[in-house]
Amino acid sequence: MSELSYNQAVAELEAIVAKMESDTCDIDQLSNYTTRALSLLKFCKERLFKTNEEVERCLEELRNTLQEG
Amino acid sequence: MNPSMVPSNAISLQQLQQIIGNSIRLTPSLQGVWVVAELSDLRSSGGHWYMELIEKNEQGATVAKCRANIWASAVAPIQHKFFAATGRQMSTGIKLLVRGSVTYHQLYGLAFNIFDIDPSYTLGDLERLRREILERLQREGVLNRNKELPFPTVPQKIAVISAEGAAGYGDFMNQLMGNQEGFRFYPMLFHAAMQGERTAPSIMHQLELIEATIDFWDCVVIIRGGGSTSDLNGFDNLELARAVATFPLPVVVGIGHERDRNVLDEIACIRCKTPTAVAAFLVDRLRLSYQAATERVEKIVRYSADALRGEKHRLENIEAALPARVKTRVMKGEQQLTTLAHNIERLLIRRNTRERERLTLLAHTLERNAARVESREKEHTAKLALRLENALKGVTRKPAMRLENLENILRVLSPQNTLRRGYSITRVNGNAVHSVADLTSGDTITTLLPDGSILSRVEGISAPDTHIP
Repeated sequence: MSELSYNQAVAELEAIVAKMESDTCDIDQLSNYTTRALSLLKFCKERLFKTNEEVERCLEELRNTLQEG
Repeated sequence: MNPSMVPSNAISLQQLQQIIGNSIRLTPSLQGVWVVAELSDLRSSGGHWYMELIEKNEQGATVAKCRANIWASAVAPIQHKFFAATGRQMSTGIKLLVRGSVTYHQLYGLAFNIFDIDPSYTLGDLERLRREILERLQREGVLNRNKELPFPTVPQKIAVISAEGAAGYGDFMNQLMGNQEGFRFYPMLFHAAMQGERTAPSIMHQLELIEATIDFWDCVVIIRGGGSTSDLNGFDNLELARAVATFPLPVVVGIGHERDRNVLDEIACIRCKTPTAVAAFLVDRLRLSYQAATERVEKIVRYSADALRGEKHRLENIEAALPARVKTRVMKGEQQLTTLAHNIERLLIRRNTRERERLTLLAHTLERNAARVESREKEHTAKLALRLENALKGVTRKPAMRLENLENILRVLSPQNTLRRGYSITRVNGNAVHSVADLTSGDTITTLLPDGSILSRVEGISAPDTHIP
């Protein structure tokens, strides 16, 4: 899910909610929906709470570059 | 000039200045008068403030100038009154409405001694200045450009323009990085002067640096570095306002004053009152995004649980309804079977009767046919028997004659008759002797005659010419 943005994740969750609210909700799909929802939530949590090493590295590089400049 | 030639009405310089001083002091219109002027060259010495009051024409040229001062005892109340109303310190370029008296000192000359101030004039003037800047940006079509940028749902990479080590920056960082939820942010300080004349160029320089790495950042934050002593001077600047309005990333400002606003407040994407409020806004933004995700997941899990519960109920209902339904079904089945059995029976009976009739008919036909066949066969058999008898009679008569002839032939040719005619049969070891080659000397031979046999030994075998024909 590296290409997924936070907004896309929330939009996908919204789409799942919409599907489940509709009459065509397939009982066989329930576990797929919840599994996908939980993995999307995990992505969102990591994005908000976990330190992204790559971003930290970029930040450090920027700081050094600007100090030299 | 000789001192004795000095006119009797001449006065000393000191006397002149006393006259000037007295006339100024005694002129009511020069005492306690309200004056509108622009502040310039403010400096402090021994607790007293010294400055120049100037007036410019529309072209910006100074057309009037006067020294002014505020004695130490008046500085604090005036300063407080002014800052409380405007959120600014009195500084060069600010327009003031001050009350004071014209004084004259024999050494320092004319000065305006200020003892009161009406900050509402300054506010009005600043408002006019801001309005001018905003109207200009409106004409340029960029006034709302930053405000119209969509603010990111998860602003985490934040370019912070502030003064390093200033209280406001510290408050912002503490609030942001120590947020209770534990949201992760990536702020970086772009140091700028946040008060005084260098404010606008310094902030604009940092904006340029940020723009050079624009892809990395989610938003820009401009927060006033200082605490209560900092002022807003320098923010109401056309170039700075234009730079913020046209900046390609959303800008959040926290440089306002509780009782005042600056021009950036009007054009930045988001305006907060204080640096702490900016941090709270960013944390809130992430909290909302997180809520958006969790609420949906909770909904999905709840729907899932509800759907499963509903399905379980449905199955239970089916299960509960099952015995009655099955009974009904079985009874119906039994009825169907009974009906079917009746039908089959009726069918069988009908079929059976018909078959029996058919069979009886067949039997009759067969019987009739058989009788006919039998009589015909009987006749045929009788004929055949007669023909056989005749045939047999013929066959037995002819062979009998042939047998008599054969008997006669056999009787003539029998060895007995042959022996009787003088021939004998010699045997050796039970075999008839046909040639002298069958015998060797010393063999015991038996000679058969019609009335008996002779046993003799071969003494010698004679040559073939003695052979009896």
